[in-house]
Amino acid sequence: MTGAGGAARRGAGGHASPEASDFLSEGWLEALRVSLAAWPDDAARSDPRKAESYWRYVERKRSAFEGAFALGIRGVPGRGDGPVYVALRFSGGTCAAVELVEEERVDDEVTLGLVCDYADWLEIVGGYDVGKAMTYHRLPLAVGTALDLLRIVYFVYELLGVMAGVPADYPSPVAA
Amino acid sequence: MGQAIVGDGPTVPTLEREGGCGMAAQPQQSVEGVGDEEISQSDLEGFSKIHIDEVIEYVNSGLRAIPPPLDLYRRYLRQRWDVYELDFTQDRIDWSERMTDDERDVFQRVASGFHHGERNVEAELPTFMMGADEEDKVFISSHLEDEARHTVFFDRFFTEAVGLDEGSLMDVLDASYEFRSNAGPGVTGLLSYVSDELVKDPYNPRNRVRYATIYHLFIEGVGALSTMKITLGYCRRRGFLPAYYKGFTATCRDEARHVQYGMGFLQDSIRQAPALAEDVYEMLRTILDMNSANGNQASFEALGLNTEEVRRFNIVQLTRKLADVGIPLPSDLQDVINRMYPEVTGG
Repeated sequence: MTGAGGAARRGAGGHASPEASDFLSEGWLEALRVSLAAWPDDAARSDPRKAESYWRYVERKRSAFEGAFALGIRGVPGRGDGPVYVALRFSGGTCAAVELVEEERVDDEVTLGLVCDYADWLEIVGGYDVGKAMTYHRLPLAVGTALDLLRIVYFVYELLGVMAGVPADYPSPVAA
Repeated sequence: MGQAIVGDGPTVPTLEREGGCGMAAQPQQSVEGVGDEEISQSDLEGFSKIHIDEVIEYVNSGLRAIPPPLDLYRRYLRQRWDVYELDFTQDRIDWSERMTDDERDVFQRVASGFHHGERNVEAELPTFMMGADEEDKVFISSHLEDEARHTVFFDRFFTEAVGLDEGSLMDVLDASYEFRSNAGPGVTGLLSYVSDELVKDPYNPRNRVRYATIYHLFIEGVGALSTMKITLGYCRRRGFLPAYYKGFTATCRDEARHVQYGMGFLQDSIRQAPALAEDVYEMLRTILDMNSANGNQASFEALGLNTEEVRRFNIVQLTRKLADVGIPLPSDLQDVINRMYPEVTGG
């Protein structure tokens, strides 16, 4: 089973590889920005579940979206219990910046935000379907309304897939 | 294509009714012109003689005079059926020995959307009940039980007829998820977000109208009827899958109560606060915008309907439902509806 991105990903505590940066590090954020600039690549476009009409929709939303989408991840080891938000700023149809946003600033700086637990994020990175995670309340809204999300939902679905597909060295979850 | 007069609403195109044919190995005679009363009173066995088009008309005819919630609840008590009475033995034979690969492929793709739709509504409907009137809560509790029973029905179909490995309900849901043809959570999966908003403010009329628009009007009133028409029309024409036919036709009759309640809710809400019509429109614009991404619907022709027929069926059902709610159709929305892709879902 594959998620939105569909690429093989590294699990928590996996062995280091040359292309992987520490999760949420400057290197990882830059790798995410580069991935977004190249997206959608041929691998993404080859998904038989995504017709041309799907990509036209995504492109239309990307072109029109002026603001920041963010994913907050709760309980990342070493970063406290609260969510760490990865914000993707879009302008003019391109991702202008990828950065971390503190929880207390997220309402001011983010247009639409989802949040999940670190354990759930690791499952998505491991291939758990993003659509299922959205269906089963594992990626609830943190900023914005349901209508805001529905208006750009496949764009968001794709962004989550790209994010999950960026190689990273994930810290092992802290035992409860 | 013929023409049908829908209540006091507009004249809309409709699909010609398919010819009747038998069920299972021993084709049975089609019963033409079965009335609403016979459908209302039918037991599970009796559904083998009823054509799905008659049941779809039963869904729509019930919208001309919508009963109050407690009357719908009493109807539920009379119409409730036992999902464990169905015997999928012949369905298993039909599935594995008589259906073609193409037929199986399309059928399981369409049925999978409904399987997940039933589960998703079972999980999300309680949020709509929270802010409902007490009479409405009683009816919604019966609706919730219907959805749970329908989820079990599809679980049994996918394990006993299709042959997916038995396991927990989630194991089977995960397995049937692989048959879906579209990426993303789908319109029933996104109920989770509409529900979350309702939980935060359960009496908010705008939240409730948005929920009823995406769920009662669109998912049940439009997408679900398409799935029923495609799969049940196929079963009847080929004489296959008798337990599926009976159980899913009974499901369609259950959906009639749900759609009637939902359309009644929307009618009442907009009568009391006409500005809420804008929330119906905005939710529909959003859903149809999402629908514009769904161009990869593989052909349904293996089951006897082409994509354009399904698309036009959707348009007819959506136009009917809006007329039933009693609100005019803005021209921009009409244009979008006319361009919509087939929507095959359910719940």
